[in-house]
Amino acid sequence: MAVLPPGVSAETFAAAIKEFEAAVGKEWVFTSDEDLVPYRDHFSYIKNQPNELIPSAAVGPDSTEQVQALVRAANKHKIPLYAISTGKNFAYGGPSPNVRGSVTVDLKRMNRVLEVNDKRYYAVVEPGVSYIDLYRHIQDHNLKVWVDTPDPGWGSPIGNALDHGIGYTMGNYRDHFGAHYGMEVVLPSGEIMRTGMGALPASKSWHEYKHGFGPDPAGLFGQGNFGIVTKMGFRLMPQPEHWRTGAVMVPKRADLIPLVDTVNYLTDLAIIGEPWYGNGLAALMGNTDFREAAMGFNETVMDAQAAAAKVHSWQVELQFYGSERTTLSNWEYTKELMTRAIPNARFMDGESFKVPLSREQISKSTTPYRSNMRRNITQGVPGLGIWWMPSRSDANPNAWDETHIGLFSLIGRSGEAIFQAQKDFASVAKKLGMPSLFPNAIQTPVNWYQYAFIMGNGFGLGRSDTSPEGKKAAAAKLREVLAENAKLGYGDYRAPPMLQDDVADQYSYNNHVLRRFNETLKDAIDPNGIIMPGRAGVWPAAYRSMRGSLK
Amino acid sequence: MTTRRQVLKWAATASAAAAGALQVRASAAASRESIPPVELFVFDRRFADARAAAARAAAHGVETAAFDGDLTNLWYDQLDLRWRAAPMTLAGITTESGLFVLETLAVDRGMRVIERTQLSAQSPGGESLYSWTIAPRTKA
Repeated sequence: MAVLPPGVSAETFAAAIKEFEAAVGKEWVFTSDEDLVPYRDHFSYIKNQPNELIPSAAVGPDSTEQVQALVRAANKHKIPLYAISTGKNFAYGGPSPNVRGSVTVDLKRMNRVLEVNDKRYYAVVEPGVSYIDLYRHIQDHNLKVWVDTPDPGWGSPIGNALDHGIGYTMGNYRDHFGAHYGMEVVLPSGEIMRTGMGALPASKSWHEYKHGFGPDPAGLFGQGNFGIVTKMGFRLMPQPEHWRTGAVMVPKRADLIPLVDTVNYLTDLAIIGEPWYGNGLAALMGNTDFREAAMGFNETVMDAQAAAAKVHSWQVELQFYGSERTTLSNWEYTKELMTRAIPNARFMDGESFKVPLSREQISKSTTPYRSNMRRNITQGVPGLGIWWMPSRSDANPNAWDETHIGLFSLIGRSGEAIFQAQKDFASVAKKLGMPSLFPNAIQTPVNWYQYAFIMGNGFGLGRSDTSPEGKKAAAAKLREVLAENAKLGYGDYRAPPMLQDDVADQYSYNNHVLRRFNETLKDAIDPNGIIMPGRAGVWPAAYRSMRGSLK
Repeated sequence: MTTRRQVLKWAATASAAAAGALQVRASAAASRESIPPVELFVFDRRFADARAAAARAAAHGVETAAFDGDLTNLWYDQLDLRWRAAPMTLAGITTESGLFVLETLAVDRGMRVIERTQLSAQSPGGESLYSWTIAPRTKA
């Protein structure tokens, strides 16, 4: 299984390993097959194939200075590095690099919570700090702030933010990269750079004003390969006094349009947290007539059958954070607005708890939340429960084999955009001969990012054939879906390494000027191309011939 | 003192109770190492086989810890705190996804899975149950 970085001789590699050992200590350099198992993508659909994206070695620095030493040694020997924070982003490739044979820089030992300020509401952490670690630190010190956590919570705020990850509380915290304020980066040269006010040596507001002065390069490090981030600040949500939920249900398909409009208004006024869209129609999909109507987007029939079955067409579950009185007032105001927009809307009071919730309250299984997973994430409590969901079941017999199989495409934040996307994704599925019932006319988007919807599509591939050939065919089909989606104006927001070139290829405006811009910068900043070559489709000159080679 | 062999025996008993065959895939590494005694038996209480094995473990004086598919609370209340203090040997019966979570967390704390055995019994949803042992890692 032992591999070498591309174009690197065994002798050069051995010399580099010696310098890595000198930098971090021999015990923190891993080269054996057994030691490198945790650095593989166990959900990859090229696992155990000759082109599997495995590292040649892994190194575990404990400090920014050690990261600098590693980068300088890698530059000297032209060894590609791939940095991971905790390496647990399994839905998008986990710890696996873009280039087979890269040396993984495992930053888990850099796990210090440097500051949590519950008066000015920010935290500063190193990359090895997980959401769970940060949450525990906050609890142990009785600080009155919340972490906006993804699920599961074993990932790191830095790693998640750098991959444009998301959360579930108020809009300005859910966009984890957007909620970062100031970072420290080891550049490919080995120099340390600080962004925003951090560039001012005596600054006292590094984590409160992110732009500093002049062009802000921070965005280059999100899904980027311009350096290794060793420190980041994040805005934290003040712990509210009360949490309340309520559900709005609307009878007709077309009611989704004013429903979304009203939710957008409430969201952008910071009255509600993440809205959870759903519908009452799933139970009717077992009815042949209804299913045919839903697959054919026959609104008249769908509305008639929903009315006959006494189920609502759409629903949205809303969350209110504040005091008991303000959350109640905001819920009442929501009902008023909704009734104005949709006279037949119905309402259901949900949860109402003083914050912080007790363990028993979080674990309670009552309407509208049937498991504590959603309660955890709405309360800023990092959990591990999401791994219950991909478990194999009668309904999902090959869950482990298709973790990467599926796309999350960005769509506009309106009811009209949802309807159009439903039809577009369904037409792509039909055109490409995909068998799934999904997508269809009852599919809902997610509102992880405040100002955009994300809608899943391309699921169901690879279930019938989990052999290497079957997985290869599924991946090829996904690439076809990506290309068809792009023609209709839909692009993905994240992707595992083996699909990153394909996703990046769709962002092609003006003859790929964005990619050319990024790669011009890449070549200037990282002339040997050692920092995560190929990440997000940005290839340095030394490795550019590898673009699109993972087929 | 409870040993790894005892844990395998509990798993076998649990499986036999479900009238299934046991497919043992203990690693070669495990067989040549000296494994510290099992300190904790972790089980997914949704499954009868797991509950039965836990009862047997308890009867042998081993501390047990239950969860219901979601390891969050067990992690916060016990495993994270104990593993911060020192790596330990633990055994259990869980679904594959439960074992994946535990294995992933254990690797970060200087432990690894030294034995995993797929039991013939399956969850009602069709997911296989595994008996396993996690032990402190010995650097090669």
